Amino acid sequence: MINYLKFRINKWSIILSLTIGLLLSGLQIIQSLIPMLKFGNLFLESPYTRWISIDPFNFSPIILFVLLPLIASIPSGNILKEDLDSGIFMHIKNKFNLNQIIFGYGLFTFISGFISIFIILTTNFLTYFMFLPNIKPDFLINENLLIISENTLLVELFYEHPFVHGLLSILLTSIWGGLFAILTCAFSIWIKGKFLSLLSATIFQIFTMLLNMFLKLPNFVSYVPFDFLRETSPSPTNIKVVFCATFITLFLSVTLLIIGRNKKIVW
Amino acid sequence: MFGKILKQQISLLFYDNSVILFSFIALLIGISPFQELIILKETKDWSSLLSTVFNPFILCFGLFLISLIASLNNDKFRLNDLLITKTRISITESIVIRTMLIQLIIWSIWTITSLITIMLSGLGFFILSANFQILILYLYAYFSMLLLSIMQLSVLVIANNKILAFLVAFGINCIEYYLLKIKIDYLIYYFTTPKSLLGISVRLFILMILSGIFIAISHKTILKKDL
Repeated sequence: MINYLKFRINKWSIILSLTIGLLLSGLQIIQSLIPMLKFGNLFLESPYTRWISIDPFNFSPIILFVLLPLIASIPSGNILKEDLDSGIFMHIKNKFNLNQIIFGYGLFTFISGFISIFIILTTNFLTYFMFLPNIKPDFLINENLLIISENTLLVELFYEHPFVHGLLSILLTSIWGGLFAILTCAFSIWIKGKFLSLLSATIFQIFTMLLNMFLKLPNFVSYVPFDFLRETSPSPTNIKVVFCATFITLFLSVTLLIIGRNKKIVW
Repeated sequence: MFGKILKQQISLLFYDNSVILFSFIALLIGISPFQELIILKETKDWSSLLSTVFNPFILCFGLFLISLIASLNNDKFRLNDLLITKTRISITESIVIRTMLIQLIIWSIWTITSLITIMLSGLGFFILSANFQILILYLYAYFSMLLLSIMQLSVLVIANNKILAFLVAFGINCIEYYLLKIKIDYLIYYFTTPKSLLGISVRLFILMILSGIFIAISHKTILKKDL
């Protein structure tokens, strides 16, 4: 099944999603490095305080994290929908078990979303090591960024082992990229239009952003993905809320896939 | 012919279920500044009222994003109509009418709900004392939505790729938002901060002319295109 999907995936869609992400991350690198090359590294900045996920001063990180579901789901979020429409799904059904097929599609979309986000964030993180010295961030020197326990997950680890914290942040964001890809795949069985099904995860994120304005959790803890996925988020975060949101999204996408398998694909 | 195309597009739009989703999100965007407006009631400040009702972040990533997706959602003409009418103007007309109608639905729901929200939060005297001048700002918002979606249509006609057209229009939207933040001349988000009435009406005129130019560009490409 995986071998078929490796052959099936469209290479131009991978290139399109990677160009959007790499363009935004390159823009952020240029914007934040130009003043530093002009005046020198006055504030003892390090890669850990400058890379795209922690940067509060520029505009391109906001666009990247809002468009994260679209970037993750362009490579293979729409494959199941296209196969169902074109009828090649009937041909595959003769060769494999139906559960195996649905599991294969879900796993493949998760992996492709994971990898596309992982490449974009790691290239940005590692590029900064070519330009800036590898200094440990200090609470007093880097006070302007305000990295405190209110808005950062596992803040003790950030000041102790910043590289490990950065890698964990990249891992969480990549897992969410995969989740968004599965969500797109699950919604696409139910939605008729091809374009709307590709953007359904983006609309879902906008919907949670609007919902966050009415139904507020105690201490104004945010449950919107583009807030808590950044290493230092603009609003308060909590590790329990992050786990709950992850499990609810996973549960929603898996149940939508299973009900869709029973109602729409089998007849 | 124009009346017949209008009738056809309205009847097609009536059976489109996705409009319900977009209008529901527009309704949510209209109600969203309610809690901030109640806090604002004591200060009685005109400029902070404008910056909460026309919050640029919500406009950029909420309303304009939704309107861009909604105008790309469905096919806008059928090849049979081309064979019946025997002119290519009918394609341009049907595309533009469909886009304008969807923008009008989303915009009117957003406008009505946000006006009701201002009234309910106890700030209605601002609107009454200024002789409904806030309606001009809402009209400006409609024309900026229309300009973005018509730009998107002209890219779609040239490139035949929906994702590329969406990304180009959304990129222009984000560049305008960035220009608003660093306070260089900007066009689409001009109404979000208090300005003189003359400047707003001049830019409204510029917006109309620009959308006309983009309609003409897409008509010229449709004439030469292989359908």
